[in-house]
Amino acid sequence: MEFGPSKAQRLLRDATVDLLKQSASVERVREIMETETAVDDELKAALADQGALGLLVSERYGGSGLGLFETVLVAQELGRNAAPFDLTTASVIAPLLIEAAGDHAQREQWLNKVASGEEIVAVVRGVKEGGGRFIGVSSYAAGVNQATSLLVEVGGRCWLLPVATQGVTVEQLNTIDETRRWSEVTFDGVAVSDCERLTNRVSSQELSRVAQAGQIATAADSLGACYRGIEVAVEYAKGREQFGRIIGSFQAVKHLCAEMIADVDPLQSLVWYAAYAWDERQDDIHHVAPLCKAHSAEIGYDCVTKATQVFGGVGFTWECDMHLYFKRVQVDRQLFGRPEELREQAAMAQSA
Amino acid sequence: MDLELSEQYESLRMEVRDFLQVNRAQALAARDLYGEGRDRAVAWQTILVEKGFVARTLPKHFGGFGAEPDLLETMVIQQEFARAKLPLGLSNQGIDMFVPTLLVFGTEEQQERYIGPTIRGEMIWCQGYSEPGSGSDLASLRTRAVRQGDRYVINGQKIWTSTAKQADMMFALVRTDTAHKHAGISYIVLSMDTPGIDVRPLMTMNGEASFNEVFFTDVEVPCENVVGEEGQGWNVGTTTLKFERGMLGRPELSERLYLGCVDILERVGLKNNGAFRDRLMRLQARLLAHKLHGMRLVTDRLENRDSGVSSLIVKLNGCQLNYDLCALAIDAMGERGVLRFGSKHVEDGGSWQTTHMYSLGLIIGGGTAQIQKNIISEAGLGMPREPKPAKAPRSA
Ligand SMILES: Cc1cc2nc3c(=O)[nH]c(=O)nc-3n(C[C@H](O)[C@H](O)[C@H](O)COP(=O)(O)OP(=O)(O)OC[C@H]3O[C@@H](n4cnc5c(N)ncnc54)[C@H](O)[C@@H]3O)c2cc1C
Repeated sequence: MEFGPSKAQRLLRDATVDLLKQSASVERVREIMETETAVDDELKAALADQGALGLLVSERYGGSGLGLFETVLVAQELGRNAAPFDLTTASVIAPLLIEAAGDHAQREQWLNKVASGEEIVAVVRGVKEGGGRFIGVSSYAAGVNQATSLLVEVGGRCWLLPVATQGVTVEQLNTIDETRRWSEVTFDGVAVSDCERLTNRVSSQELSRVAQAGQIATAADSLGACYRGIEVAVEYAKGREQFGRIIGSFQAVKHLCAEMIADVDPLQSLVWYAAYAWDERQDDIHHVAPLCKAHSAEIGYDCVTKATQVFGGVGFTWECDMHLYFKRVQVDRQLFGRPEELREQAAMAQSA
Repeated sequence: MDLELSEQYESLRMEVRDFLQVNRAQALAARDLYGEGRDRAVAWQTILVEKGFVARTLPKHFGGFGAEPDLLETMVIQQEFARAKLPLGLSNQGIDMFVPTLLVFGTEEQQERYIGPTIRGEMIWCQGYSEPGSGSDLASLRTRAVRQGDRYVINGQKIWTSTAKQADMMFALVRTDTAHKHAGISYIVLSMDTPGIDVRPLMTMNGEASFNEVFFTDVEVPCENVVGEEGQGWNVGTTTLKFERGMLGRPELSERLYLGCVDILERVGLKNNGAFRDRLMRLQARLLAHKLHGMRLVTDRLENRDSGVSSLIVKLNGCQLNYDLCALAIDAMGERGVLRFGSKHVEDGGSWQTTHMYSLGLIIGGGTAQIQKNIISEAGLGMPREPKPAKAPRSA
């Protein structure tokens, strides 16, 4: 038994840490945040080079055929750096849907490109299909800013089309987290026949399995942001003086930090376990995944609230990096279900 | 990540499972070590030791089972007892705190004399640390041990000493040197029958006399009863505290309380109440994270990795979780939740109130939550210690 990453998995994580040190320093992240669409092609290329985009894609389709556990190790580091890349959409949800819906030829064609970064796919929901046309608005679509293609999912049926398709309008929304943008995607009479229809209908069980992977990856993103939040808060508390003392020697401050780590550290074990249970298709995954996500939302919210306060007024400034992690966690909290809904889901799954 | 266990562990698992199925009645009857059930409790514990489910890795000549240390075997055994909703033998200050300390610091002779009877439950221990003036600031303790020839003569007072009335023995911290705060402390064991010891029960908020004041008047204890060297007591004593915090933060009790909560919600018809269910699921998430965190610590030990701050948070989290679980059960029962044992209409014999208050006691005992946070932030996160207060200005 080995609870936690194996040696090989730790190597993968360390390599990601190094990569992000190069490609997602906080200066770089801030630079990208200032741009129109917050897309960092260099970061994407570096992640692709390392194989981070194809961790969930099987080897026969050009991925590494590893699992959600490995993906989550990377997601956590991206969260820690508030890196401007939506891994959950591009490398979890999209490939899993293509895998489930595509026939062999379609998987061959698409998954290779997803794994290599040649195609970055975003997922669009809430659109209707009628009279041979797609119509409607997908309001909070994640990762469209970084995407080359869209995957439209309607009741388990999936189609792929380039973002730049006649009749598709993308309007960027402004969430508080400027490192990962959301968009409103409007379909105005796009002909269904112009889109590539994936052969298989994805069952509702498979759809919830995909959502569970998204929940776990998002929890990992928050976890990373929390660890970083604690780190920068503790670091600050060790340097700042008031009343002739290092503020980190005040118990009010120390105890905030102790509470943060006492809450966040066990979440690490829960995230690891959830990813493992997903990979191994354990029976308990149906309640563990939503529970893990809900827990990360609660713990995360508390953690960044406390960490921000450790900085005093500086914590409220744009200049202080803390708000990057604060916002990351805030946005993650709303993804793949609100905590109350997720706990409800977990309870239902458990009593079923 | 790999949670597969090899065949050897799975067969141990089945062995434990079968054993518990066959012997369930005896396990359930083995309660109340401190009262009338003592013989039954000792008999059951002795069987568990013989089977190697308890004290598994203790050498045979100390009364243990003598297996090679194997954390996974221990884990499997724990899991099976938890699955059967049975406690894994006796848990007390002697077995969980003193024995492991003695294995680190004791002489061969001390180990042979105390370990066997302690693990079987024949020898009950109490912990003489806290004093009226020394709780969180334990190292300020003043109970004095003065050496006279081959013995120490002890004078002073301990307080909050759990089970001192029932105990055969005490391990205590005493002051052998007044010139040095920490280096003046020694760790000593003594028989509670020694003349000059006076145990006076204190009533806890639960209305039980489970802890005591212990007075020492010219109590003579042989020098060979010191564990470690004279003056090394702080080091030995804090090792015991480390074991204590591990014990207090164990998830087994939390798990039993959680299952109890599920049962209560069902009984009072709130199983499908959204607000209560939400509260239950929040607690389940904490429990799950706490349990899995324990497995992560086991892996660290298997690989000789220092767990760092991760090992320091267990007591704080576990004790608060137990308290919050009891609070849910009590709230779910409403008016009935505040009835105490013996009352008409009381549920579960009033145990939820007792355990609720006892859990609060254990947020305080073994180092308060605030002290845990000091330790986590200082030893775990490297934050600065509280500066020593400036000496109060002398009035002219
Ligand atoms: C159920 C129970 C069983 C116990 N069993 C035993 C036993 O068997 N043997 C034994 O020796 N003792 C036992 N104790 C005693 C226990 O260890 C002490 O009560 C505990 O260490 C606190 O000491 P104190 O009571 O003197 O409180 P104090 O130290 O006076 O603390 C009072 C308050 O001040 C806070 N405080 C104190 N110092 C600091 C600081 N530096 N930073 C921040 N806050 C601080 C504390 O957190 C607490 O809130 C038991 C206690 C309980 C409740």
